[in-house]
Formats: sequence, C-alpha cells, structure tokens
Amino acid sequence: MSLADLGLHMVALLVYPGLATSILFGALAEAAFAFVRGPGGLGEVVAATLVRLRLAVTAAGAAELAAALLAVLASAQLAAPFNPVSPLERNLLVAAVALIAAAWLAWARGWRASGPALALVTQACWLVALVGPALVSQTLRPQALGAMAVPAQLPLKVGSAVLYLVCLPGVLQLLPDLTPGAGPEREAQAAGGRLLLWLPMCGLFASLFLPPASADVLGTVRFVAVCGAAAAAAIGLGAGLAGRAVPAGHYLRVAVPLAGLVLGAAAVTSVVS
Amino acid sequence: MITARAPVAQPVPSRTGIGLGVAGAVAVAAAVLAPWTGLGGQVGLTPPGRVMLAAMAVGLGLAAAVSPRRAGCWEALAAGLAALGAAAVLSALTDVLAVAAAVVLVGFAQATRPGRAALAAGLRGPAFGAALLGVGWTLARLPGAAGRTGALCLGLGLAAVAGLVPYLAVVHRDEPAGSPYLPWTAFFGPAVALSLPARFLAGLSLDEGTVLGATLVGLGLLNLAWGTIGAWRTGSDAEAWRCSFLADWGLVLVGLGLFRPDALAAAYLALLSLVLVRLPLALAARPVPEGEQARLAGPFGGLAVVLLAGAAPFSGFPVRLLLVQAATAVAWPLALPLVAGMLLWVAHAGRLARTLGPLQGRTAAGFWLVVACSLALGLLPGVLRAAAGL
Repeated sequence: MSLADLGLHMVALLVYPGLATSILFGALAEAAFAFVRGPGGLGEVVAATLVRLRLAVTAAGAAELAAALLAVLASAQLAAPFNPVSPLERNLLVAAVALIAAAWLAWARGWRASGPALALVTQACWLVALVGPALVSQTLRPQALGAMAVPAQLPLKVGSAVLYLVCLPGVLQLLPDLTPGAGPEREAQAAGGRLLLWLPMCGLFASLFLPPASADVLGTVRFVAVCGAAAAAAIGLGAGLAGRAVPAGHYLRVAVPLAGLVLGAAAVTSVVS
Repeated sequence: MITARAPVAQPVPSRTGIGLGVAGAVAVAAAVLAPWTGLGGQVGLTPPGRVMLAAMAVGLGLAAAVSPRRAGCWEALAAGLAALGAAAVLSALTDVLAVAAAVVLVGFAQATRPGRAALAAGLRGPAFGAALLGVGWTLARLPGAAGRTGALCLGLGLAAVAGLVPYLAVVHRDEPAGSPYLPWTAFFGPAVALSLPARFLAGLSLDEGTVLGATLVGLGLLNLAWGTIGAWRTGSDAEAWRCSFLADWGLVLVGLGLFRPDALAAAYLALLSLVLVRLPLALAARPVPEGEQARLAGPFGGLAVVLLAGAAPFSGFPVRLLLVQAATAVAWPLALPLVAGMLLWVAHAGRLARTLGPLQGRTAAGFWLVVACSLALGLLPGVLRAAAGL
C-alpha cells in the first residue's frame, strides 16, 4: 500500500461513499420518513428534519462519535461505483460487525425496556440474510456476492433479499419499540442515531443482492436508485407498522420464521451445489 | 467473572439474556465449524485459539464454582455462553478492522451490565484500543515511518484492549470481582492476544515486525515491573489482584514480542494459566474488612502461595522456564529484568493467598479443581503445545 492508497481510503471514509455521502443520503431518508409518518408539508418537514439533525449533532457524545466512525467504516465496504477502496479490500464481515456495533452505540442513550430483546432478534435475522448467501458462495466480498448468479442459488438469494428488507425497519430503529419516544428531543435523538446508518444499510442491499453497478454515470444512478428503493421499503414498512400500532411480537412472527426458511434454504443449496 | 458480576441473584434470565446466550452459542458453533463451511480461509480459529476457547469454557465453569457470590444457574449459563461467544468471535475474525469493530461491540455489551461505572467509562478502554488497532492496521501497510508508527499503534492497541499499563481502568476497592478491568484483562484480552498478532505479522514487513516486537517486549517489561511491585506495595487487595494480572500479562507480551517458538509457547501457556487459574482465584478472593488482619486459610493457604508464586510443579513454572530460555537466546541482558521480576513475584503471592479466605463446600471443591488445572498446565506443557501446534 502506498500513500496514494491511504489518501484514497481517506476519501472513501470522509467523502464517498463515507461520511459526506452518508449524511446526504441519511438526511434525505430522514426527511422522507418524517414526511410519510407525520402531518405537514414537504418544506415544513425538511426544515424540521434539519433542526432535529442539528440538535442531535450538537448533543452527540463519545458513544455517538464511535458509532459514526463505525458507520463510515461500513460505508467504505459497499460495492458502490467509483468506491476508492479496492474490491479486494472490502469485507462483508467488517461491514456487518461495524453496523451492529454502530446501531447499539447510537441507540444506547434512549432505549426502552422492551427494546434490547427486539433489537437483538432483528439483528440476528438480518445477519442470517447477510451470511446465508456468503456461506453458499464461500466468499465475503460484497461485489462477488452481488455478481453471483448461479440458478441453484437464486431462491436463496431472493429469500435473503426479502428477509433483509423485512429486517431493515428493525435494524434502522424505525419501529415504535425501538425509538426513544415522542417529543422533539427524543425524536432528534432517534434521527441522529439513524442518520449515518441509512446509506450502509441500504447500500449493502444493493451490493449483495444485485449485480455490481458499472463505474459510470448510469451505474451510479442505478446504485443510488436501488439504495433509495431499499430505504423506501424500510420507511413504508416502518411507518405502516407504527401507524397501525402493530405489536413488536407480530413483526417478529414474520421475521423469525423467514430467517429459519433462509437458513434451511442455505443448508439445502449448500448440499445441492 | 460472569456470575460474580451479577449484583442480585436472578433465577431466570431476562429475554435479552436468553437471546445473548443463544447468540453466544451460535457464535461458538460458527467459529468451531468455520473450516467446514468453505469460509475457513476468511473466518476461523487458529489451533491455539481453539485450545483457548475450550480453556475459557472450563475457566468460566471454575469461576462459577469458586465464586462466593451466587447467581441463578440459568442466568449464569446464558451470561457464560454470551461471553464465550464474544471470545469466539474475537478469536475467529481474520480481518483486523472487523476485530476492532467487534471489540467495540463487546465493550458496549460489557459496559451496559449493572455496575458502578458509567457507560462511557466502561466503553472508553475497548473503544480506544479498537481505534489504535484500526489506525495501526491502516498505517502498518504503508512504507517507511508511517508503517513503523502503525506497528507501534498495533502493539499499544493490544495493550489497550486488554486494559494493561498504560491504559488502566479504575478498580473499586471493595468489589474486586465487579471491577470493569476483569472481563478484558482476564477473558477477552487473552482471546485477542492469542489470535491477533499472528494476523498482524502476515501483513507486516521485517522492519515493522521488529518495531511491533520491540513494542510488545517493552510493554511486557513495563507491565511485569508495574504488576510485581504494585501487587506487593499497594494498600488495596483488589488493586493487588489486578497488579498480579498485569504481571502475568508482562510475561505474555514479552513472549509474543520475541517471535521465537519457545517464547510464543510461554505466552500461550501463560494465557491459559491466566484464564484457568488466576481468574477463578481472583473471583474466589473477598475483600478483607478494614482493621482486620488477613490470615492464610488453613491447608488451602500454603498451597495457594506456592501456586500463585509460579513454583514447580504448577502452571507458572514452564512459562518462566521457556521465557528465560528464549530471552537468553535472543539477548541475554533481557533475561535479567525477567528473572528479577520473577523473583519479586514471590513477594505478593502470600498476600494474594490470604484474600482467598475460608473455602468450604462448593468453593473448596472449585479450589481443588483449579489446583488440578494448574498441575496439568505445569506437568503437561508438551501436550498442550502439541494441541496448539506450537
């Protein structure tokens, strides 16, 4: 590795697809979530979101700083077009462990009594969606997993993708039991904790379950569109569950059996192939 | 450690506790079975790591047996499985950045347990260690001074993760078993120390490897001196126990830093001894009330002094023998501070043995099991080395 490589890594961490891109994507996603969930016009919602994020940033402590570092590290592992980090140096496990740690750290100040158990189960299901295809394909490189298109492995890949989307509202802390509560300060806390998680969480979906996007404008647009679609699915599911006051147990009744199915499919596919 | 840290006995663990226990069991199974999944090259335990994981399972059982504080059986099992799973993850990850992220995650889980320390205080050590490992690993792959700085950061990061000098956490005078340093210094630290240096070395040049070795040897001698003198001179029994861990770690770091087969074997045996012998005995210790004179507890006392002093035929003896041999082969002056530290070690063994107090029933049976483990480590080092491929 040379000093130029170090510079490229810094660009990946601080600009694209790291800090700056994550803040932009996260702010847009937070505004969309607030718009879907609550009353108010678009301009009003955007202004309120910006105020909430500013509040969250000014109140951030050491744990939030560590969470931000880990989230940015996870972003650098994405199979995004023009990612300056070499594809050989990206690792799914680094992204997964960093995101889980970041989610807990960001959430630490405001959890409810019932929250940790729900978060733990959701994260376990999310890990199944990540690791299932990796076990069968025997690789931990995100772009290699995305490029895998063996017919025998497609059912597993589709099942894992569905499970990933089902788990997204949980790992992004959009469910009512995983938010610190109502009130401007609490909402700012929740939005601040999620801000940097949106891009790596949605970007991993685009990296793992779709063929790698080409390094050109069209590829970039496609990658952003898939990330946006994953975020939209998470927002829709999260807002829907919150709006209908669906208990967390009902949510888990979908996620846990689906994770079991994916594990079973991974075992069968592994034996067959 | 796990049972002793629970402030109130709870017969049934919470749902989160059960979840963590199941997650721990899955993590252990995944780490052990990794070679058969096809991901063996990217995730998996090294042979010493496999032996250490088994030793940790035994160590947790011994700790639960000798600890005078009781916790619910199921709660202890869930917490033990969670801790074992975390150690398995730390040992099995091959990417240094993934290990650093996992250190933060485990540190967070540890810091949220009931105790006196605030979350930020409990998380500070592991987070700083993880940051040093991350920065070190990034810099270590660069040429020149940056690479050497990276190697230095890696050595310092290992010490920070294990909570050693110069990154000591606060020890509460009246609750030795509840101190925040114990999980990292006596449980997760050994898991990281046994697997991570081998991963570092694969990516370092000769120059950087030399800097890493020198850093580890320097930190080892510092911890040995701090530990032996501190355990002898300090006024607090809890601090004396912590210093005795530091002295053990001193031998471990010197062994890791010398990069010789005998020295690595000494480090490996010292870490096994730390998990199987010193950790359970530290949890069996209880604070002596102020103004009261501590006494050696019957037949246990004398045996505990010999065992803690590292005399033959117990676990400390082959460690010392192998380490002095290796140090003499590398540079004989290095053996002088090592031998001085080992001689000073005897001074605090009696003091630590006095804190064990009267042992009866379950705790006495646990003590004899610890003695048996120490004897096995002392008499069969060759078998244990062969099991780890060292």
